[in-house]
Parts: sequence; structure tokens; C-alpha cells
Amino acid sequence: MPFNSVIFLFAFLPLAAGVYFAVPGRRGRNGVLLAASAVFYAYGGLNSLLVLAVSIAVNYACGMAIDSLRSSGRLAGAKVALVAGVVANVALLASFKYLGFLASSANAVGGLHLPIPSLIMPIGVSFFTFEGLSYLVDVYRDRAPVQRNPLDVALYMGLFATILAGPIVRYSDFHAQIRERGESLENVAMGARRFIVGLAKKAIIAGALGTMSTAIFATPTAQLSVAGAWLGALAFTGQIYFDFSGYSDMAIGVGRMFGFELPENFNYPYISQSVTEFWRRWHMSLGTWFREYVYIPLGGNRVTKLVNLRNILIVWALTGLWHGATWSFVLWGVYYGVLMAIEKFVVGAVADHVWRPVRHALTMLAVVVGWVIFKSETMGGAFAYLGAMVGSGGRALSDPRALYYLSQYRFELVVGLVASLPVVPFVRVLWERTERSAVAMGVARLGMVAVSGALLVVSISYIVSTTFAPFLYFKF
Amino acid sequence: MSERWEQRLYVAIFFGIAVVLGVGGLVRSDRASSSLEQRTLAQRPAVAWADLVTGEYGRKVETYLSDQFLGRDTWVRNYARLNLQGLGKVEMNGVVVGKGGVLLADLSSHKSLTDAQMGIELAATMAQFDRIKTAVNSYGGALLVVGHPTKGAFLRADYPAGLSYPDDLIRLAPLYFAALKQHGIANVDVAAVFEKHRDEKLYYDTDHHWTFTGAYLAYSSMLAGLGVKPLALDELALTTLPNRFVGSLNRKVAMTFRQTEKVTIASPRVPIPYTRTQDGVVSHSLFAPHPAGASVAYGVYDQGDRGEIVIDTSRPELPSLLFVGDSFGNAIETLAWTGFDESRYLDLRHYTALSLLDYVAKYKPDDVVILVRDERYLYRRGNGLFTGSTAAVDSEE
Repeated sequence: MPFNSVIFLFAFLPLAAGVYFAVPGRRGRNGVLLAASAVFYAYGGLNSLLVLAVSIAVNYACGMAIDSLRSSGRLAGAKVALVAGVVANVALLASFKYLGFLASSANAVGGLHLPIPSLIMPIGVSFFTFEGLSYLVDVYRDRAPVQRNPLDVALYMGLFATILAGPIVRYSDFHAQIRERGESLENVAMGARRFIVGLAKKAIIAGALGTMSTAIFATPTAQLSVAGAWLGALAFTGQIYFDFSGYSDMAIGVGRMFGFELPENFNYPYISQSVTEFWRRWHMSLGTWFREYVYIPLGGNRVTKLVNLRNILIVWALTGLWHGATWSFVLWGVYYGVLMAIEKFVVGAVADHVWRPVRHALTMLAVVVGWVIFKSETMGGAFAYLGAMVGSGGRALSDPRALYYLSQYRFELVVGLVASLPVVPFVRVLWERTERSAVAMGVARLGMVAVSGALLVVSISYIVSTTFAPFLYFKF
Repeated sequence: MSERWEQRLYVAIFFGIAVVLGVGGLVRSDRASSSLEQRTLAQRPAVAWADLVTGEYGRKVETYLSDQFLGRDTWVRNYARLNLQGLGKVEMNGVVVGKGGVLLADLSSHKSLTDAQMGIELAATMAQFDRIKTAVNSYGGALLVVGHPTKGAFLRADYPAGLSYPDDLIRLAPLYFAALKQHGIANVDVAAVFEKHRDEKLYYDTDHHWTFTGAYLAYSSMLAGLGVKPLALDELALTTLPNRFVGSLNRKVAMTFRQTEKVTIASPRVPIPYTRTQDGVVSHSLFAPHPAGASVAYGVYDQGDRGEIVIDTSRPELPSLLFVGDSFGNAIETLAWTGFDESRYLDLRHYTALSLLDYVAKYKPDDVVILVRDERYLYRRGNGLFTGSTAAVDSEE
């Protein structure tokens, strides 16, 4: 049940919130949340709910075994239980997401004729599997207590605010909130405000940029002008940011309404001065997860340069593969791994002496190229599109269609550009530094509420009037 | 306003809107269709176990709730106004705002054909015409193919920069008529006639169909092609309906643009007695009811799209006619019957009892006219399918 659906906005959320706040006590409220999460997830298909239930059961059992064995001093046994749990999680993910990819790759490389399985991937499987792994590792490392009540594991892995597309919450950051969290008028209000911002990002900006990028990427590359190809790439750059950061805003907002503090996923990634910085600002919860559970266990950077390079490439190949079971996603991941390795081992501190706008331009160039690889369905398609961007085949610099798109979507492009910059925090800092009267404060607050209300109304008109657009990250 | 009041307002606005719209949509009785959007609206889906398992039920519920959303027409209208008038967009929902505010169909998703593909499709299309021509000629009848430009083709200069009419369709038209000639099939290219009347208003600004003037020119050239004298304009009593005209393209953009156009209908000044049946039922009027104060659409002509219409004037000295065509034919039909003994009108999107070949064999009409619009020159479904045992119904308008 996507956050931008009619049923979520106008039935599920108000009903869930109403029942939640009507029920007293933590246990009762957690029960309401769990039941609501089950309904929320089952809306996408009972078969998906079954997969989630199996995953929760396996992680609960493995968590209990790890805790029991570790408590009784049998560390080797605890490690075996951890490995078993990790294997089970990875197997679950692989069977739904990677089996077809592996079989087709084996057929292509080895000339085999393996059948290509076509299991329907449960939505959010990549996200709740990573949370399951986080649970096991954090329990094994004794960073957080095991949950003796399976319903609490279910609440962590299946919370409707995060199950479809994150943010991926580390168990060590979440476990305390199962028992203790602060529901308040302030949290509900701020959650609603955050939700509206996310909804507007998705409905108003991402939707329009998505229409443009889809149309341009669907054009045969031979027919694209240089400007048209760039426009398509930039439109997708905007679309994916507003789509996913909009979703994250909504998830964080919904979580906050119910008292949860979910981790931030974005911090204005398009102002980054380096690719490394970009990934500290983009899908932060995924980056944190890979750093915590893959990169550091591999030795991180406290190893030789060669091993460190290997670690970086492994993490980024996995990051690419996490996004999708195709070679172009792997290429996309390795592309970032190589760029980061270059920044770390080749460019180093030299970058600090380069003029900031140049660093920013180079970073954005790398990011836009990355999104072209990400968007293209095949590697051949990606290279052909990148070729169009650099004017391969003596193509025209511009064409009427490109100018049409520029004109048709000028509003969304400008708003997208401004909204991808930290304008709001900048204004907020300025505002807080200014001496202001109580009246001015009141007017400002009223203005903010009015703007939020208007954004909500406009977003609703977009949701009702346009074909439903699922979030890009639902397929990962 | 204090911080506390700010918080209260946020909660009240967010949940207030959600509850009012959610509950309002539930308690209001469902609508079957939307006249604004020209489509049927989704109804409450039945619960089926298979749908619950796959998640299909959720998708159906979402469609249903969205279609039955409280105040849907207002939301849709405001969305269209915001985008087309507020943000100055020139394309929405398959409609393009052309020069001078004329509304055109958006053909940017048209799959262009190469010349080689066109040649293959053209050969297959002509093979169909050959079969129907052979069938018609076998009893002494005559076949005439009338090809006409759609609004987008005729007014292609009015498309805004970047949204041109497809090149392959422009290249196709002369090839189509050349192929008809090569196959010995009599034809009329209405585009050539329209070109001579470019200064006249041949298409509505807000609808994709032709005006009465356009339809009359097509009718005249068609009858000329058959060697039948058409009624002159002064032999017709023209009536401009005072009713508000609702253009199909304007409807697709939620009637965002001011609708000032009117529909003109015509009847012979000297009445000609006739009987008329549509889909087997006697229905005398050549026009859909248009009571004062009610809106009318292009569908007023010949009571809109029908599978089969038969008009009999009991004048055996005149030839009989079989006319095959889509909605563009509706306006022609209200004029063409005057020149024939019995005239039959088929819309093969809706008529499926017999294939065209079987129909021709059964009724043996003296003249068979097939009306084709340029976008459908190579289309072999619906009104482009002559040889199947039953015709396919498609979504063409």
C-alpha cells in the first residue's frame, strides 16, 4: 500500500492513527501497529505477507539461538547460528531477486539451458531482509538485546512506515523504541508536516520529471540530440531524488506520527563536492548498513591499500546488485566503487585545492552518468545513451523536442533545482538569527501551515487526477 | 499563533482533510460513469481469493477509490486548470494545445513505421481491399474508398514546436492512394478537397471531429466519386443548435477551455420519407435528442456510434448503399441517405454479426463505400478488418 495511494491517505492512515491513540498502553499500541502493518503489507498480496512471516520467524529463531548460545558461553555455536541466519536471509533474498539473474547469466556464460525461474518478488524484500540481518548481527555483537517476543521482531521488520522502501533501520537504533517512544501532539504535527513535504515531492515534482525522463529514454538513441539526451538524464536525476527522498520524508513523517525516530536517508546529495560525499548524503541508511555490516567486517580501511581497495569494490558491487539483478546495476555499483577508490587513493587531498564549483560540477557529472547507467535496462543501452550525451554519430546539438520538454516542464525543473538545494535550512538559520516579535513568529507559523495545507491540496489533485505512479525504489 | 496552535492546526488540516474526503467518498453512492472524463468509473471490486493472494485486489480497490473519490470532477478540473492555464503546459492527457488554442491529439507516442514496414503493411491492406472489391464486383456493385485527413494531419502546422504530426503518416497518404489506384480501386482523397477550403472551419477547435462544413465537403466528394449528385447546400435546411457543445478534446482536459462552438445539423428542405432502424430497432430520428438547455456532443449526428443503421427511402429507382466507417461517418450518414433507396451504415467496431465480406454477399449493395481516416490507413482491426468472421472491436473513437 504505497503512501501516495488513496487508500493509504484517506482510509488506512487516519484509521490506524485513530485506533492507535485510542488504545492505552505500550503493548496495546504495539499490537495496533503490528496489526496495521500486517494489513498494510498484505494489501500488496497475501503471498508477500507469507514470505515476510517466514523471514520474521527465521530471524526470531536464529536470534533466540544466538542469544542463548552466547549467554551460555558457546560462542562458536552462536556464530554457527548467526551464519545460519545470514545464509537463510541471503537465500530468501536470492531466491526471489537473483535466481533468474543467476540462471540467465549462467546460461549466457556457460552455454547452459537452465530454466529461468520467475518468482514474484515480494515488495520491500531487500529492505526487510537487511533489517533481519541487522537484527541477527546486532544481537550477536551484543549491541542490542534479543527480542523474546516474536511480535516485537515482527514490529521491527514489518513496521509499515519502513517496510516497503526503508529507511533501513539498524536494530541497535530501533530496539529501545519498541518499548519507549514519545508520542505527542508535536510529533504528530511534525510528522504530518514532513509527510506533506514528501507527498508534494513525489506527486508534483517527481511525477512530472518522470514523465519527461521516461519519454526521452524511450526515444531511440539515434533520434536524440545532445541537448535532448542531457535533458533526459537530468530529468531522471531529479526524478529519482524527489521520488525516493519524497518517499523517505513520508516514511519518516509517518514514523514520527507514531513516536518513532527513523534515520534520515537524504541530506541534499546534489550539493556534494565529491562522489564520496554524495554517498554520505544519498540513501544514507543503506550506506550505513553496508559500512556497518559488510565494509567494517571485511576490515574496512584498517588494512593494506590493496585489501581496502578490494573491500571498496566488494561493497559497491553488492550495492549495485542490491538495487537490481542485472549487470547494468552491477556496473553501476562498480562504477561508484572505482570512482571512490580513485578519490581515495589517487586524487586524495589534491581535490581540496580545486575550486569548489569545479568539484561540484565534476561530482554532478559523475552522478548524472551514474544515473544513466542505473536507468538503462542494458549495458549496451547505457553506452548508447552516454554516446548521445557526448554527441556521438554527429548528432544535432539540439532539437525542437528537447526545447519542448524544457518549456513544458520548466516549472518542475526550476522548483526541482531549488528544492534540491538546502534553501529551507538556509532560510531557517537566517530566520533564527533575526530578532522577531511574537506577532511575526505567529504570522510565520500561520504561513507555514497555510503553505503545507496548500501543498497537501495540490498533491491530492495530482494523485486523484493522474495515473498511479509507484515509487522507483519499490522494485529494489 | 503559538507553537501549540501551530501543531494543532497541522494535525487538524492533515487528518481533517483525510477523514472528510475518506468518509465522504465512502458514504456517497457510487457513480457509474464520468461525463467529464468520458469513461465508465470503476465499481466496488468483488473479493476473490486469487486477487487477495496476488495483490490484484488492492490494485482494484485503489482504482475504485480513486474513481469514486469525493469531488473527483472538481479535483480533475483543478488539476487540468493548474497545469494548462497556471503552469502553461501545452500537453495533457493526450491533448495538445496548438496555435490559437486549437486542441489537437497528441501523437508523440505514435510508433513510426519505416518505409519497408509501410510497404509490407500497405500490401496486406490492399490484399483486403482486393478481396472486398472482387466480392462487390461479382454481382455488379462498385467499391469506393474514401480516405480523409484527421484534424492533426490537416492542421499539422498548428502543433507547437517539438510536437509535430508523425512524418510517416504524412509520407503514407500519397503511397496509400497510389496503391489504391494501382489495384484499380476507386478512391477519393478528401485531403485534396479540404486543401481547397483551408480558409473555412473544417474541424472543431475543441473536438477531434470535423464540423458540418467538413462533413459536407466529405459527403459531396464521396457522392461525386460514386457518380451520385449530392444535395446542394441550398437544398438543405441548416440548423445551428443553441445547445452548449462539448468537444471531445476539451473533455479530455476537463473542459478547461471556454466552449463557444456550436453544432450545425441539416435536413433536406424537401422532406424525403424514410424509415430508419439502428441495431435492429426502429428509431426515426437522424439526430440524438437535444432538448433546450442540455449539452450536445458530436455524437448528436446519427445518434452516435451504432453497429448497424438502415435507412430505407423506398425509391427503388435509386441505388442502394453500404457505408462503412467510424464516428467521422456519423455526420456524413445524416446527409448520404438522401441520395439512395436503401442505405446501410456499419461501424465494424460495434457490428460483429457478420464480417464485411459476408454482409456484402448477403445484401449486395450497389455501392460500397469504406471511409478511412489517415491514421488508420494501415489498420486492420475494427473498421479496418473486412475478412474476419467477426470484426474486432477496438478503442478508436
